[in-house]
Amino acid sequence: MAPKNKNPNGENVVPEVQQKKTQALILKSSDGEEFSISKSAAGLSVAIKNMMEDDCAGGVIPLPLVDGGTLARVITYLNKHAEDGASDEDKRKFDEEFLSGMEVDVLCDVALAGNYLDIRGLFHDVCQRIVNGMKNKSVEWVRKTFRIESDFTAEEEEQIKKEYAWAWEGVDSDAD
Amino acid sequence: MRVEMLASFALGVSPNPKDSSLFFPLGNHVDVYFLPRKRSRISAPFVVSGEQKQQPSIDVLPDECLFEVFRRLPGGQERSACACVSKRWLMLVSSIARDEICNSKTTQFVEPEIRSSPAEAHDTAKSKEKSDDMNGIKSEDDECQENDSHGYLSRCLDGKKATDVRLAAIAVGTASRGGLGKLSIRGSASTRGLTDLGLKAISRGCPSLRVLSLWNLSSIGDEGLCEIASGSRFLEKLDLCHCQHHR
Repeated sequence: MAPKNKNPNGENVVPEVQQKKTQALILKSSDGEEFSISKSAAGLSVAIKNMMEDDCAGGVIPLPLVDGGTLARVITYLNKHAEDGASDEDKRKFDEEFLSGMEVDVLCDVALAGNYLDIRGLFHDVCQRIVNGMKNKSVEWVRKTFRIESDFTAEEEEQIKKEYAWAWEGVDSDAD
Repeated sequence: MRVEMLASFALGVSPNPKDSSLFFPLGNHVDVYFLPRKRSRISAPFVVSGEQKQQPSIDVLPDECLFEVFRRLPGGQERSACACVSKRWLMLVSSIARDEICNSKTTQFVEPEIRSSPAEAHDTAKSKEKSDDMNGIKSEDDECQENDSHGYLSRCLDGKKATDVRLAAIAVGTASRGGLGKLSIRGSASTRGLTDLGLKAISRGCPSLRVLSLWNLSSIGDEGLCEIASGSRFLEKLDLCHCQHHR
């Protein structure tokens, strides 16, 4: 079983009553990194909460879909949102900073993890962030940014361009 | 333990896929001991993450995630741009019914403490202003698509032009311009022709459809017509001719 209070925030003075709530849990990423997290923070993920309830969470929880870098980010998010003293305002500010520095690829990884671990708030925020980046961009920009190759036939592509002629006008230049 | 084996399999960690002992390192022992853990919830979606770093990152998102992204697209222009990206995107964007579209103002169902931040909303407003300036028109299509369906659009597709892709494109394209009022389809392409999927896109994207005429379509069935029945609530005329469904 996981040793008590092994979480990195162990130095916080925890009242006796809360001892049980803040026990640590180990999450293991796809590349084998292990992270400890308090049970209350981990419980914000519905998927992990279910695993804990099913008593699958005795020791280490492997998360084979989430790599270490992404998991570290997710845990930062969970810790902030499980923090006792944090006001809504704090959390909002945190969310904004948390997401603003992320590259598109990272956002997608976090979205995937947020969906997989069922962390609704995180997932929705990330989706919104991805969409904000697409605003007023051309089709080519989207394809390039997300590295997607068109699988339309030449004829279909032509038809689609015709149908959406107005959507190809007045967009930001592709330079960025 | 079982979970991890599956993981390394799906992640393509093994250097030599032919060496089965790498997949099943305990294969020779008959009495393998598995931890008394419940069935792994995590095993289902493994397939995707193997080449995550090289693959187009957003396309590893499962359909329901991408759907969540697309329904947040702020306006007709962005929706159309995304619909042009690839077939998968087109079909996903076309499957969003109008009442499933959410703009950032209406993202209320997110837990109260993680509502989208005011600064972001400000950003949104600013970029919208900008796009209005550039187009020289007000982007009306964001909000009031519903109202102006009187001078309605009509489309007619013949033979090989009638494909799911084409219908989905029409559905998304016309949704931002007052909505499609009349659609006639005369026969379908022999390969990759029209199916229920295309009708579904029409039912989602064209709620103001009044007249639908389908001739010589053997590839559509009840499912597609049910979609139309539930989605196109202003339908006044439905013309079906030679639409025997062959399986």
